Amino acid sequence: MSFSKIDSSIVAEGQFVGPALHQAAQNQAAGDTAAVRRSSLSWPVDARPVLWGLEVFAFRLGPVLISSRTSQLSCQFLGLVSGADAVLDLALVDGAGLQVASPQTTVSSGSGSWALTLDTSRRRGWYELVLLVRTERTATTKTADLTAGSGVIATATTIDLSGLGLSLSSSERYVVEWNDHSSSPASYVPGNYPAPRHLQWWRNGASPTPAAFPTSPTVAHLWPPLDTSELSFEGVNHGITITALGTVTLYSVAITETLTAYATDPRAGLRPGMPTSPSSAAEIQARALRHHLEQTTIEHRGVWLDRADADEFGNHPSRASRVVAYGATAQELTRAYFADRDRDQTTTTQQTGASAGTQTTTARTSYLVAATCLLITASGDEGLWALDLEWTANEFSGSPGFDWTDDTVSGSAQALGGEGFAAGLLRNRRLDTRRDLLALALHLAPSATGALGGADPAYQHLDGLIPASYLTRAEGVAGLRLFVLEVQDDPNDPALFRRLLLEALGQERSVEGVGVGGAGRAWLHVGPVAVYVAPQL
Amino acid sequence: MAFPSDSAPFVHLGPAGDTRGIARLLPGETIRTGDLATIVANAHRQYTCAQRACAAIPSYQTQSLTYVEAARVLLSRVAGRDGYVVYVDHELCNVRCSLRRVSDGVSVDSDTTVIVATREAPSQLVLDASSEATSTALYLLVEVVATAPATTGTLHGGVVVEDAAST
Repeated sequence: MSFSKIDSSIVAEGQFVGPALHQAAQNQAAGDTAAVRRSSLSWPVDARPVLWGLEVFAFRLGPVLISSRTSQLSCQFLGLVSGADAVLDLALVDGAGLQVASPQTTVSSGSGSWALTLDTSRRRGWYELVLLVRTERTATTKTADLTAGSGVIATATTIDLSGLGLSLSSSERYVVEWNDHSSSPASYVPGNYPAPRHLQWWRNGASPTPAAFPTSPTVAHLWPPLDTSELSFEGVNHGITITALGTVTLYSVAITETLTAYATDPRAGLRPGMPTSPSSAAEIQARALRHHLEQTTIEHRGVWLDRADADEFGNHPSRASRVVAYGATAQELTRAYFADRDRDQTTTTQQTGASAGTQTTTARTSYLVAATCLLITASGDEGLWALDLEWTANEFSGSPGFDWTDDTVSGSAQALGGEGFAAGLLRNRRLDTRRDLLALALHLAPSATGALGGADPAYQHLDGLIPASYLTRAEGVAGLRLFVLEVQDDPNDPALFRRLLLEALGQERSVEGVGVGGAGRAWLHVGPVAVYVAPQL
Repeated sequence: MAFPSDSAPFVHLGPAGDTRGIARLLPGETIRTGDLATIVANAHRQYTCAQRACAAIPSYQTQSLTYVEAARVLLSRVAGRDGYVVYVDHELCNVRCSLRRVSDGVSVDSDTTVIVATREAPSQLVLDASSEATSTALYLLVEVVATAPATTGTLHGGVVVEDAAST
């Protein structure tokens, strides 16, 4: 369908309303076809997420704003499934938890691209889009026999591999399973062996370099940790099997709203064969306006990954999220780059009434900056914790010669809305937090001493993966929390290229007598940020 | 059920209230020449407004003196758009973008930006996909090369893609 040129004389003379509306209807339908809301999220080659796991993990793709205009999200992935098949699923996360709305899809090993769809016909509003993933075992296994009391388990979170001669590859992902000794099995009920555990990270020696995955490790870190009741097998002869799992390496994902409902035909307000009813023009306009507002564009979807960047604790950004700790320095979450866009400048001509004459209106564009955060604590505290969060957005306008290397908020930055460097503050958000499990599963890889936050989160193998079961918990107790920041563009700035800098500053707050600082501090994990043009006037 | 409203507070930065330039008609008005002109103009605007095929990749650094892959960006396509405009924010590196078929990796079109100073405003590349059917899946291969030995070239996470305007 193409654009129909409408004879301006027909419109100007106020004649032949029917033909003019007919052509306008065609143009509106053609505009709908070309105005599919879509976005794409990609990762650089050195930070591509590797998804894997025997249990179902969720990987965040960022918030989506589902309007009544669409009934399906189509996600096409570019990546590589290797080693073994992967079972994938798309799901939405909201305040009540995980809402799975698409059938499971098995993607074969070797696939370079695949597509998944999600039914959104009964969904409206903000959701977090996640990819659920589970991978199968490969044929690569490594086994060893251990005698009773050999002290294989050093702690609940580690397994001692010294002297076993097992060789591991940093490019593979492993699970460890316990079973009978191959030659002298003990009289032990097999069902009492622990369930398989993921190898989150391994090292050689007591003072490891976090980024290094030695081929002959002495200690491997387990996830989830073993419970004390599961350690009884140590007292008998037993064997271990370490098996490589299949992996899904993501290069890019394109998210498209499909099965959209087109705008009502402008002619629908005019009854055939009848004179124009008094309210018809208003009805036509209202419908077109409502439809226009529901298809506002997505300006940005991404996570900020500066490989040279580190937070005040020395942690580099994860492949999939940004860790925000409390502290004195605001930490950058993302940068959104806006190219030159339609300034929404409209000239209308009114020939009658008080507003007769030609009027030109230049609209300000408002943006909705949305992301979900997940509050966790490190091990050691069971009390309630809260963070005061300060989200700020600042706009850098671009023109030739502009200093693009300055990523600090300085005098060269132009505050959005012309109100100075403004900030939104979420105060007294009391969030219950859970210790250990989630912290270990996420980016705060344990150090050699078992403390959290001591290793570089970008290198541990569960980076970016949230256990799907965790997302079923009620919002406000655990799970994801959505924040939306609305910022407004300056219509008088002639810059052709803009950069939106989103930062967060966490202020730790202690509640119920738990002290501030120490091992029990809280972190926030912020996933990909989505920036929508605000659907409002 | 979406997120409850109290979990998604809207924080306003600056005054609100400016309206988009879409004229509204009050109930009871009859259709007038100006009204019709507005309806027609909106339909025209809806058709011609450049929709953004939003795509973004995080930053990337290289010291390589030959082009190396920085990222692949999967693009979704719609009818009536002939290609893409790619904006690149880069420093101390040249960037080559090529549009390739997902199915076989064959390049459909490519463009290269070369910086002339150590610091550069964002560059704009235009890639033509008009030779490919809309149903053909394409991705953008982003490659970078440092401009001098021992120099770290940086892609500032600023690869932005939008639809090229319709003809």
